[in-house]
Amino acid sequence: MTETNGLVPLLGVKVEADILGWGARVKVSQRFRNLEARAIEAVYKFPLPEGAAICGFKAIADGKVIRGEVEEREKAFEIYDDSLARGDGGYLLDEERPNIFTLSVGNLNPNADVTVEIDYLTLLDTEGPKTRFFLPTTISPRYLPEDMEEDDGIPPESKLHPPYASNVPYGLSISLRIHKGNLLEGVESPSHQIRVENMKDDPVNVTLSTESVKMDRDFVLYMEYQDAYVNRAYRYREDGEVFFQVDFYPERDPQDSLSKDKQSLQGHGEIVFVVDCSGSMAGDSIHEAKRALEICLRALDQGTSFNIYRFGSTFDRLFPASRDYSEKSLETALDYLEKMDADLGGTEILGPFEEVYSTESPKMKGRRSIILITDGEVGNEAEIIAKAKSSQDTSRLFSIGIGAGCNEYFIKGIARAGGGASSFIYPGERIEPKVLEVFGKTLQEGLVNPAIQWGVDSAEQAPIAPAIFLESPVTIFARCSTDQPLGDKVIVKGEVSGREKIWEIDVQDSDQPGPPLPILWARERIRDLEESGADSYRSGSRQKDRKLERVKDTVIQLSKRYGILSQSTSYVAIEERQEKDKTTGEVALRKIPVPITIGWHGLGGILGAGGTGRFWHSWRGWDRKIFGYNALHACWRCECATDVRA
Amino acid sequence: MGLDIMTVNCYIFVMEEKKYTIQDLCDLSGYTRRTIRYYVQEGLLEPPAGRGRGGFYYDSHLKRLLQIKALQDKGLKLAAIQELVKGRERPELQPSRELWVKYLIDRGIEIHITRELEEKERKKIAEIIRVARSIIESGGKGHD
Repeated sequence: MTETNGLVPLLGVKVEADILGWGARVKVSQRFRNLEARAIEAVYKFPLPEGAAICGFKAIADGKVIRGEVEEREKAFEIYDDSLARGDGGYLLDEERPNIFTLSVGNLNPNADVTVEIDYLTLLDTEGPKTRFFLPTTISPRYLPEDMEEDDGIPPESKLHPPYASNVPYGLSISLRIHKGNLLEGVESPSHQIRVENMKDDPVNVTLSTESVKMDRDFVLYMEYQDAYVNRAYRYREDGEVFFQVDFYPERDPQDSLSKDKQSLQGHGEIVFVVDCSGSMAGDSIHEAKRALEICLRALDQGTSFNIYRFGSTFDRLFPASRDYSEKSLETALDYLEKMDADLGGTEILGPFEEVYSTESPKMKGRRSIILITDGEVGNEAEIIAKAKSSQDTSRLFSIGIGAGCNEYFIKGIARAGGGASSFIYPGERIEPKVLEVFGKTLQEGLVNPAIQWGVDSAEQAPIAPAIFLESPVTIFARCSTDQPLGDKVIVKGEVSGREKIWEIDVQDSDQPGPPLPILWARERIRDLEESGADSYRSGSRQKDRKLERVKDTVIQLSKRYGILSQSTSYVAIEERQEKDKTTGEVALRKIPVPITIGWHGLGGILGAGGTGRFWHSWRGWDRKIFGYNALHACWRCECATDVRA
Repeated sequence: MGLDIMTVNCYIFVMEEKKYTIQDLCDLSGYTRRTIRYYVQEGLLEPPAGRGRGGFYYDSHLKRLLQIKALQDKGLKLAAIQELVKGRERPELQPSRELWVKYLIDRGIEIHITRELEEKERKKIAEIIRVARSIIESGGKGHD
């Protein structure tokens, strides 16, 4: 870590968002000023949510607005590079990972003041009855395995890691507008002190209680709406194409599914817990991971077999093979848990996974469930995600993200690839409901062989194969051409507990002024493509290389057409300058230093500083609504996981 | 002025060394422009000659890039290559036999010229040597 010399050209970051239901439109403004006597190029690495559809990029220099265009990644760099060589202004936004971005602001003359604005649309996660607005602010250092490949001769650490500093002169301000406040029951942040104004109005305004905060922890906001989940379908026409969106919420059939579905897996399944004990988990995180594991262990049922792996640079396991749950095996497991610490060094996740995947499950009924508990701070996401994807037939993968700045892309990506689900635990947040929500999903098979009929032929659905769980909402999109006759229903089919179920959902025409549907569809489609490329992320055969090329071409085409960023494209904006304003001579490179995530590797912590403890005042009882198995006998007041029946 | 003649002659000589734009370098080495800029940034590659980004590159740049590529193809990571390349300033030098000709200009001043020059270039060098000697002889004033 370095101390900064006070000449950091980033003055501050401002985030404004409009939140409506499960979606948000967000604007991130980054203001730069060159405080030096020479021209500089400022390079800033920063995070955004992994699911964000980045659909706007502009620079405002001396009152002049310069809009960016999406270009193929290397071509965009060349355009940027040429503009800098000419002495013009250049602005470039690259996607290094779905949640890590590099902004280059070139030829910033002395005293020049430039604001860069990035717009994105995103769907929000739901957790039980709550909707979660998430804004990452930090890039925690990633563990990069020795054998990780360099991308076009550039080492991964240069792509992913900003320089870290213990103190930086800039901060973050946040201003959110939550629409339809009359439907809002509560707003709460486990990460920051917030101020809520015009509650129940439209919009409800949410700001940070201080003007600007240090960007060393992610921002999380929970909203609870009165509106219960309902099945809805929308249709939107644009430029000869029709886009569909379905919000789908399969309820349990009260007559049979709860008990039957539970019976089908509970008591017969195999659960393997894989716990990250690498150095980055030190402090708050390992403490929370152990609590999460203990909650799961105590929720296990007779007849379930289980095992625990812990890993860092090396890994070991509790039992040589999964063992039936019993009082004795639980006791052994709790002993093993007790000794766990973040003392195993690096983050070699593949080792334990390869062993688990190569072990035959002792229970042949259904698939094995793996629950990974981690901060996800690795840089070889694609490799691990590919592994989970290729083993989806035999094992489902669930993930629980821990910490104030965990790797959202990895934690969600691996659960998507593994046909499971994910959840995030912020330091100080109530662990139990979240852990039990994930654990509850391991006990259900969900909707088996789901198929969606969009009412037209050749609809391109995205995501193409979502994992659908009962009592958990999911949003799915589709695109088709308009010359087909359109049906007025979307039909979802699938099996629940061995019986076919059908949902018919009426389609409403959406007349929204903005075009979020095409953009959201394209984002999902690009993700599907990028993550399908993960199958063959490491080129080896010509066939694989050709497949990767084809996938990349399609991604570039979609990305340019819908104006959203991808890993194969960049946003570039050029500010042509008059001769007198052109930069001449050497331009100094200035990488913007960023603060390190609080709690990373045990550096500082939120829990030690008193925690928030605010949660259970407003959300008390949530866990009771959702779950019905023995973990609820655990003490839920102080989260100590003691069986209150004893 | 004699000095001018010498400068001009030397300039002609330097001008004739092969020059590359960054795009030429990309085409010849197979690296993207981003990577080449990165290598300059990291000190693996000398900055281009001339002003800022618009400058030119020479054979030495291309040679260095190809050397990095060869090491990468052998499976070396950039960090290791960086050590190799920076540690030994000229690791590309293979033990070899080269012939150089030494021209004495004055006491303590010599010009060394490789024998592997083309006829045309050799003539230019001869002119440079002649001019250099005459400058020294005339006490630094040169002659027409």
